[in-house]
Amino acid sequence: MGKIKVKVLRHDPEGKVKDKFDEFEVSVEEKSTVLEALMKIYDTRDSSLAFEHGCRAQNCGLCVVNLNGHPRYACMARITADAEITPLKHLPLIRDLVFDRRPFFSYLAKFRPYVVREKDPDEEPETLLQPPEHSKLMSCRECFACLSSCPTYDCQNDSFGGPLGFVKLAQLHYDRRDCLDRVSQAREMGILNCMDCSACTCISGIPLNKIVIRPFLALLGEGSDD
Amino acid sequence: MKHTFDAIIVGSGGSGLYAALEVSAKAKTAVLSKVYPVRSHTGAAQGGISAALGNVEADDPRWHAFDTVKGGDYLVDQQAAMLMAEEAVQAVYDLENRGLPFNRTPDGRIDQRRFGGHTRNFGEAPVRRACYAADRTGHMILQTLYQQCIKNGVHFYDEYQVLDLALKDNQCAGVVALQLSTGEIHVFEAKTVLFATGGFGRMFKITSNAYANTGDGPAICARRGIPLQDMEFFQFHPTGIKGLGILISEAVRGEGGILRNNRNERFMARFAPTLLDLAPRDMVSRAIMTEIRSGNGIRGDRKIDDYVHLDATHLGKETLQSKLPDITDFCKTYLGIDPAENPIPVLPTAHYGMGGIPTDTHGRVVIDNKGTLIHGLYAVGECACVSVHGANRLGTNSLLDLVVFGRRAGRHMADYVNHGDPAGIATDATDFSREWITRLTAKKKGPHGGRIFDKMQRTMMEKVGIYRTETHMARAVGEIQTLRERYMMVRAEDRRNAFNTDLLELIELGNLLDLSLITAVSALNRRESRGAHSREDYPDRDDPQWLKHTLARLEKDDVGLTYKDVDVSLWKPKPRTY
Repeated sequence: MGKIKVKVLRHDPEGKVKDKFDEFEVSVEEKSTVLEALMKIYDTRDSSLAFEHGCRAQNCGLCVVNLNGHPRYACMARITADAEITPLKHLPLIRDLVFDRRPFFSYLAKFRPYVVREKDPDEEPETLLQPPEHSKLMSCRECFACLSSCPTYDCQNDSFGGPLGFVKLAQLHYDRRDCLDRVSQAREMGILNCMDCSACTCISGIPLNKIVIRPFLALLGEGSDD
Repeated sequence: MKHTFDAIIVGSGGSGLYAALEVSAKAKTAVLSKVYPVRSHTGAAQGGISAALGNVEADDPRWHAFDTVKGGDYLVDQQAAMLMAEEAVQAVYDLENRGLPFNRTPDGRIDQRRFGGHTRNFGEAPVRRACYAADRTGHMILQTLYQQCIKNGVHFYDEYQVLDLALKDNQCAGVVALQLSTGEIHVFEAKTVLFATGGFGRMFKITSNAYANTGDGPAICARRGIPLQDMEFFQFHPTGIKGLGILISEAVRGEGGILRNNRNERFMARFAPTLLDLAPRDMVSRAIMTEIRSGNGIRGDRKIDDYVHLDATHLGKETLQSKLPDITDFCKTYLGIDPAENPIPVLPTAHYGMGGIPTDTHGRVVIDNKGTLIHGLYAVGECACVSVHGANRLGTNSLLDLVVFGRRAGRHMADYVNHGDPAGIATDATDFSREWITRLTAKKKGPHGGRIFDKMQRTMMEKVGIYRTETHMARAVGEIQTLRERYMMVRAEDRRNAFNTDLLELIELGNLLDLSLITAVSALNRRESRGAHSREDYPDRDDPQWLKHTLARLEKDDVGLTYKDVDVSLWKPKPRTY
């Protein structure tokens, strides 16, 4: 493919500089990914560029960025000429493309985000069939892309947990072993303020609206469960 | 800043989280991790966790233990392997009860599938032993364990890079770590510390490992005078995506995928007539390289980057989609092909270190042949060496190792915490770390780390890779020593405090250089071929001379070697055929 220009948003918490775009020229191949382009910038142009990356195989969810405004795993998305790479939105930025995941997990901890059983299980496993929604939801990478694409979510507003919060509750709601009322928790988490706009996207392909938002709203007597 | 806990766990992969879960039931526990929990490399383990449940066909823990010993080319400590195979069954039930969503048989029991080297009745035929959760078994294990750790009130220090271990005589006192978001150095005082820092595959150019797999725990131990065991044994997984090393899970062959050469021949029939494509990984990787060298690679030019095909086209779109969904995505992204329609171009990729910090079956660090302990110090998972994997690990035994030994170490730590006095951390505990960081960030000119990193990875890949010789390895030792000298002058270009990836990478490079040296020297000295250590100048296994574990001590610019007995109390070593 040859040389292309890529724009990356820079955020520096220590300097007095406002957020700005830096443009880099990098040579890439036809199948090069966004992560490969970022690595190339880091290796050959500017080693102060901060971005996170892990497994290169869409497992760890670390390398998520907004590519031309849409959340993508950098390791799996192809780079294109004039691509604009920005950090996820609505989240506390640490530096450049790196954001802080901790506040969300501290917030989530209030909702007892683990299987709570009425009584301890026997040593031997039960013959158990979970509903299909459960295994779909368990493939959540906690990459935070859904929070970035939600117009209502804001990390500074505790009254709305956002799609990721609802997914974490739904994982437990569909788990036949869990005995807590996760539907009421979804209300506490502010799901009634969800605009049901279907803007939240899941890179891993979890149908958020269909198996998380709508069912919770229906159980709370809002909207239709179609 | 100083923090005090009863127990510190370094690493938030499967073994670290399992240990944290156990120890936190009785003691104030913190987990330090360079990546966020649930993002550790355990999450990349696709295939499964083996246990002789016998849910879909007859199985027996003794068969599992024997397969593990034979798979490890008899360098496995046999009682440890037996213990792992026996505890596997309860470990899987335990995970299930904690919430892991295993795939089920139509009647609701945990489903099982085939994996390389796992057989029925001591080698007769492949057996279905791997329990799995789609091709996301590792990810699901992390999710499940993390939830339980939160429930137990474990303190998480996310994105902290461990720099040093504090010891007082033969007792552990705590660790020193760098907070990545601020660049601040923290001291964690604790009576007991467990290293669960995972692998070190990034010492090789082509690897399946994540960027974080830089062997921080073993390197820190080595610098503190603790020997590392069996570091010459590094597994190359047969099926990495050509050129990139990204893993195509062995589950593809477990489900029926076949390796083919340029004549469309199923060449594994010549190398392992009984197990075929499901022979242990070291054998399959060597078979692929032998085919390429004989001109049977797909291009047929005998060059080192020629490749073979992994054919999954006959499995059908539906099986690929339901049982191996991620594989299809990788192939489309990185190769532009659909595995349901085209064979996948593959080459071996550096995957798993069998060696590491030497421990007993409670995860306690043992530093010599006499059983001398560092009190309060533990290690589990890939960074440790129990040794249950010997000279070559079987697929699905790593997740098992994490769970079984993570649990055992956590329980032992919980007891240890309640006995004796803490060592107390010395006031100069951070000196080494501060000097290191100061040197790397000093405002002087110095070489850039990137070139040294690249050179190290190439040296290890080309000279200490699948096939090894005296000449190449001796050269590798010299090259790594030179790189370690140059490393002393290296400087970070980025001098900010917040999330300085440049600095982090230099710290990791320092760790990998130390481990590369230990690996190369251990390999050079072992004059035989066993499991993943395959020497062209000594092609046979030599039990009279070499049925022993290596213990390698880092001594400044050199490595001192001693050896340790192997437990062969259950099965006498035999030639290894499949």
